[in-house]
Amino acid sequence: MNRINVNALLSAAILLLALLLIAGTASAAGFQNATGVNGTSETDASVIGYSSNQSAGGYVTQIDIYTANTQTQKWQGYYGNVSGNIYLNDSTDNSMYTWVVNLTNTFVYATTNSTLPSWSSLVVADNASLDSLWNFGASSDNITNTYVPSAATPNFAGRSVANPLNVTTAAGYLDYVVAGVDVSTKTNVLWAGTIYSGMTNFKGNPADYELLVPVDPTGPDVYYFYIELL
Amino acid sequence: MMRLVFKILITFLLAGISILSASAAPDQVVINSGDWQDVYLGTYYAGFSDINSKFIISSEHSSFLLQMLDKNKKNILLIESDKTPFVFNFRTSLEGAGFTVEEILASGTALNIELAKRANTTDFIVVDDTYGYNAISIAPYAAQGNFFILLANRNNIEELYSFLNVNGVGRMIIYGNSDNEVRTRLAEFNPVIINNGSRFDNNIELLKRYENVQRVVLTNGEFIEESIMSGKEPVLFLGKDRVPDQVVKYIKESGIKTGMVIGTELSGVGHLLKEQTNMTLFLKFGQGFGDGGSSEIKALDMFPLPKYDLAIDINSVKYNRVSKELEVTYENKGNIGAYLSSSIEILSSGIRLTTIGDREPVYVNRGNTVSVPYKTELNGQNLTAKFTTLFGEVPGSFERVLHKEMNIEMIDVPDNSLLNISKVSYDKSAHKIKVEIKNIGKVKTFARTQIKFLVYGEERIMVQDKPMLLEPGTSKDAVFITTLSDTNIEENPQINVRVNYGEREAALIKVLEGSYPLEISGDYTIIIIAAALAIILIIILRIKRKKDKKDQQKSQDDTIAVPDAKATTSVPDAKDTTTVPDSKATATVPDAKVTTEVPGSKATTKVLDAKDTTTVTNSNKK
Repeated sequence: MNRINVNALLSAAILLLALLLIAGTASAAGFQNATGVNGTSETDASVIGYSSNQSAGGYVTQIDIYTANTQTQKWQGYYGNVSGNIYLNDSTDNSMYTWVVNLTNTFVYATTNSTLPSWSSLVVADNASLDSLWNFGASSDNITNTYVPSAATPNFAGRSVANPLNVTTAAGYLDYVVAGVDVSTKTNVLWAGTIYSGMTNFKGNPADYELLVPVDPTGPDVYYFYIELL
Repeated sequence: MMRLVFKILITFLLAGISILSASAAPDQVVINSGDWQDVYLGTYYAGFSDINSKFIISSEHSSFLLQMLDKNKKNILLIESDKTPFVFNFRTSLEGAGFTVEEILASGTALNIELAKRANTTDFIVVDDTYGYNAISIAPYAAQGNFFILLANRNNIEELYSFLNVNGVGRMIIYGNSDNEVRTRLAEFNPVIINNGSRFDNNIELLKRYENVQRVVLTNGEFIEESIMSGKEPVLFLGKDRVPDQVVKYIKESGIKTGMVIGTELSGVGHLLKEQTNMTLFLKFGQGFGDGGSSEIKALDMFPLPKYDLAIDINSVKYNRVSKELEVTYENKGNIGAYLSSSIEILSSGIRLTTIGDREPVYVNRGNTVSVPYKTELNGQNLTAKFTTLFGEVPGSFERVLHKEMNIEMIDVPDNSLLNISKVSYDKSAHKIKVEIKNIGKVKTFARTQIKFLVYGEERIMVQDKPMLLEPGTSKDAVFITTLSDTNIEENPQINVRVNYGEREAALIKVLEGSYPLEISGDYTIIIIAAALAIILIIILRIKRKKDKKDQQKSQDDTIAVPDAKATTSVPDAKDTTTVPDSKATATVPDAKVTTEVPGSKATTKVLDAKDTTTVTNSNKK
């Protein structure tokens, strides 16, 4: 007989629903496969025969922090909210109790790798290598002039890295860049946006993170986004 | 010669494929098809070839996909379904975006064979294509081992077999469940069979075959996503609501410390896994196209696969004060049979009185209900039953969980039904397994019978759709139509039978279960063959007699035309020939020996046919 004690039962009943990443502005779109561009929502391609809530967690936004004549072509910005809840639900999803997962000081990660870079050994990524990888060269808005050495030793999901490059956005969000093993390829590089609670983004709206990632002028990059499950 | 024939055959098989404008080796693969098999094969081919792939998930998605392609990799292999593309002639769009395109216009088995040829390998893994679970599980393993994957079933196995014969086979694995026809046809290639039962067990078996696993991709096998198909990391299956026990056990034993959960839908079960194993888990939740300030984070591209629809519900909970049993009726609302195991807390006004449950998993056929009695003594007011019901496709792989609290209805219903099983037999000629059930009680009884047996080592369960009614003292057969080969009969000396029965059709709360010897009956093959031979013999004899009669008649007619048969010209009919006493009549026949051997009237008749006698003569001369 499968006997389940109360604690096990609660554990089994716990459902961590989607880590909600919600853009808190008018330009942010909802969850359901939605994207927003210039303040409007754009429904993502629906998938035939598949529940659309698979896309929960993906949110869409655009940074409009530059005027048209000064808009950089080298950077892409993302911001949003992250929340995690644990529910004690019944079979019809009525919640008896809800716990909030504290994600503060964890990170949203972006990489061009469709899987994650090696996490066994995270290292400092140097500016020269990064500028070379992204074909930036010398310019006022290259990586060297954006991500600068820090004195911090942040911990990325169990891996501490001393003095990684970082950048603080205008609204005060701190982002880092590190690399798995080495900086030999783009797919080893990991961009990490710190998650905060109660912060206000560049638009004056609540946001848990802002993340700046470079865009290769010779061939735009596709970034994949990850978050550590707690 | 045989090889040539096969080559010709393959040429015909591939006649449905159009390959347009061969180009340099592709450095990206794009798939435009609404068929999961095409998407799967295309992305697998890309992973196998260590190049990137993208697939279209809707017509609207195609424009976005153009942006996502790597502009520095110009040579694209476009795999477009000739039956169900999302976008018509996507090649034009790709070329318009500056890519050089080689296009394969095909789908299904034809595409599978074409890509297998391009893979240039003699090592294959064969997977059934009914569901996508095993195909997802095997993809990284196959790519790392340089196997190409063939999606096989009983309908396409001849095509695949023909290809394999021409191509040659080095190593072959048949992974997961497969049709008997597939295994039989491929037996000559000496395949290794990996089939440990459930998709979870098969999946873990694969993981154990890797030399060193540091990190796994965690998914549920119900969709295709780029990182799953890249072949870079092994795939480990999570459940849907909970992580099956054997998965947790494997992770703990293997020492795998890091995993990547694909898609936010699995974040909940990923969290449960983390709690149970303390793994470092990352959730891959989105993608974004960076083009300098106008890009976005969006959902991951996922292509849905055929999946099990597991759905168990509890219809009623009644406490029968007569039998002192809690009668719980479960319903399987899914599309496949499911096993369940419940833990039931009995509460009285919110205070727990006792906890009962299933010692063994209970099987519920799809679309059926099953009533399970739980022995317990209950008193009190406002009784409720709080269920935690685990369920899954096989025992031990419970990936789903149902939490439900229901009021307990009190009833007083005696059930005096009593049955026994007299015989279990297999009728070879009728292809039927029969379970003879006798009502040995004094009341009419409803019974629903379930049998469990092996077919080439795989467990099969068959259940009657509806209960049958047995009057007191009568017997009835529960009949299951299935074909068992001699091998299957050998592997089932006994068959497990379970009969749920009772006086109430809606509450078959009594159970009769056991293993019974399988008696074989109705092998009428020899009798049928003998009868057929006898009939053929009779027909031949009748034909011969008719022919003889005809010949006789013809001889009589021909006698008139025979020049030297003067003596017979006066013979008006056959009857009269019997009266011909004179052997002169035969003197006209060249070889008199023959005629002298013919006795009586028959001989005379023969003689009248000049042709016949001539023939006989000649043969005698020889």
